Amino acid sequence: MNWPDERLIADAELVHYIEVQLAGAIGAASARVMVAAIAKEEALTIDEVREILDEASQVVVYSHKLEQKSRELEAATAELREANERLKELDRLKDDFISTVTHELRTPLTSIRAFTEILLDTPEVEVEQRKKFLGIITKEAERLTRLINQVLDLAKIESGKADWVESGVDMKEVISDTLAAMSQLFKEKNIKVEARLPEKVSTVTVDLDRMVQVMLNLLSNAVKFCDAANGRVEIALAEREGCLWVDVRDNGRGISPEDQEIIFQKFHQVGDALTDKPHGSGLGLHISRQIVEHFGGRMWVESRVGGGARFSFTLPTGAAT
Amino acid sequence: MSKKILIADDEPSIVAAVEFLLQRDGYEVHVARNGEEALKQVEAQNPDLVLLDVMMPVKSGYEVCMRMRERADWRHIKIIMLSAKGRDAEVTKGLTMGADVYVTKPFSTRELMAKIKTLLGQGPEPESH
Repeated sequence: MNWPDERLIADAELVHYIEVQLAGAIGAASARVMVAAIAKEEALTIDEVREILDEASQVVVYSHKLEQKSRELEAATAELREANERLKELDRLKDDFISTVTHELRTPLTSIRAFTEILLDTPEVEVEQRKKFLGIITKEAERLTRLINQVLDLAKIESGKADWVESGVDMKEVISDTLAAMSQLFKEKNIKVEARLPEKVSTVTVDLDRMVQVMLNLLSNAVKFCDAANGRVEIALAEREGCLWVDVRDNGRGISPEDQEIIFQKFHQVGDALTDKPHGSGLGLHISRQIVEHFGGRMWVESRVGGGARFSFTLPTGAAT
Repeated sequence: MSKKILIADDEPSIVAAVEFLLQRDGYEVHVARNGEEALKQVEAQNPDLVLLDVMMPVKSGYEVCMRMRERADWRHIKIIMLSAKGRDAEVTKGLTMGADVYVTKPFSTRELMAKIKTLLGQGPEPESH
């Protein structure tokens, strides 16, 4: 630095201080010119002033950019934090799922092991009782198999690895065939069945086996939960608004409003808490809804306590509305 | 006089198996299908031992265990907690709540019967009459 003025040289430290302070607000070069001008008590030229203003506006632009960057960083951090929370939640759900599956698998296994050991260790069991115990073992083994199959099925659907075989399906036929397959069960439980099926409906492009699975699930639920003494199940099929509408209605004890969404969740069963809990995996409705939604339909339930339940689903026919 | 055992479990086939085993070995057996009923049965029957399932409707086994341990006159009743939940945290929870033994389902029926005998002070071997 070679300023001619002696006062300035004597006060070099002060000048440096002022330069640094000003350089924060405007550019370093401008600061230097400005300080020099003031120190020398000289007026600034127009060009110098313009330069100072230019640098000052540059600094303002940079400062805005910095603010913008800082806001972007904050948003990205928040997003990451949220994603992390979601992952944690997923991890927790997975843990819950595994814990529930384990519990559900261990329960039938417990009966199977206990009765097998009883038969091994107790030679004096009478023939009739032996038969009863073997019957329980068989039933629990079936329950275990069904559960394993459903868990595997659900895992396939959820991971997108399920094979969907699509074809034009007549839902009227699916319903009639399912009803025929279940007629023996209806008779055993003394349940009156009424089906209201139209003459003809449009075909829907779906997986035939999957639709049979959905119908079997809804009908077996209806059988399980309908009135024990005067069981009654109604099935209705209709076509309107570019969709097929299927209703399965029972005259059971009904489902409370708070339980109506819960029953579609995995492993959530609703039974009479004071007596025996319902048998089943607690996966049927969850899988059924996933199947219907895969084909663009919806599934829901309408019910009131003591007034039975009506499960409905739609399937788009692909026809113009 | 034969010892009295209460089975509290909501799984009918497990109840049937344990009930058979206990009766076979000469115990007097009572059954409760949920936690609430279990407490009522404890009050009514004053059993020597309770086989307590953890995941029961109305009141869980943990809660029943806690309620039971709050009563001084029930302190002598032995509690075996039976559960399909077998993680360390759950076992510890059961034992902290006051259970004497925690058994994970599925269990060995021989081991279960041996544990019952030990807890009731009948020794691991069947008593001679």
